[in-house]
Amino acid sequence: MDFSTEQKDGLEIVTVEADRIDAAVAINFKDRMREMMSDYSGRMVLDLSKVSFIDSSGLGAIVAAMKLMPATGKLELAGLTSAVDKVFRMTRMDSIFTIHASLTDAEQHAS
Amino acid sequence: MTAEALGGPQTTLRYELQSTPEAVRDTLIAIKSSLLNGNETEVVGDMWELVVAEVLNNIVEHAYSERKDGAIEVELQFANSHMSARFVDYGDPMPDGALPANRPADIDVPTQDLPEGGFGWHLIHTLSDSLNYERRNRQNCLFLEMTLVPGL
Repeated sequence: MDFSTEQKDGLEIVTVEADRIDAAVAINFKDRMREMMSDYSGRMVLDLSKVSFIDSSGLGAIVAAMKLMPATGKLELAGLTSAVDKVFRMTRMDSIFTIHASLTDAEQHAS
Repeated sequence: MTAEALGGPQTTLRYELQSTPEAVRDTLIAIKSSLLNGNETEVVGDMWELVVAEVLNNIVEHAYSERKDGAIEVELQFANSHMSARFVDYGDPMPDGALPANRPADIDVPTQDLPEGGFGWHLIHTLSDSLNYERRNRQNCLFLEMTLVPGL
């Protein structure tokens, strides 16, 4: 599981460089997110625009990542593709996360 | 993993795979590739992949308790906005011999108590029109019917 990161205007942008977050990589995803988040306390946006498929394991890994944010931090999601968005809506997880249509929206949104 | 594809007005795909998450992924990618070759991906939409993934993941995790040497057989028929699927495995039976109920995860809880799993059967029930499970001669057989919506 590869990620690229960028800091922009006080925002940490973490882009998932994979097209699937599924049972084959869910544990690895969680471990990598845990490493990246351990010191972070601001707004972090997880850019999922390259991800075309998640299953319930992938969803669980993203929830686990959110729970790892310290109380002062906030994990947001951006760029959900259609199939990924559906998984969040069917499980009602779209009400739990702040979801931005795109990174541009996330950058413009005041925290 | 081996595959057979039959032609005609419907597409029938058969796969045998081992009980690993990687083999599940490879099978889903192969199915998508077969549908793409037949120019069917727009017609069938995306949600078939999630349903098949959830059923296969469940077999890997529970029927085979994550043992990597289990055999899984899948047969899928795509025709007329409809998918019929049959899944066979030789692992442990379903608890109480029955399909898990459609129980959405409870998310109206504090953040730290949010569930990280248990979403699969709700997704399968939500997306499928019918689900039938039989235990026959040490085999688990799951039959699933699903309406496919183009673009969804």
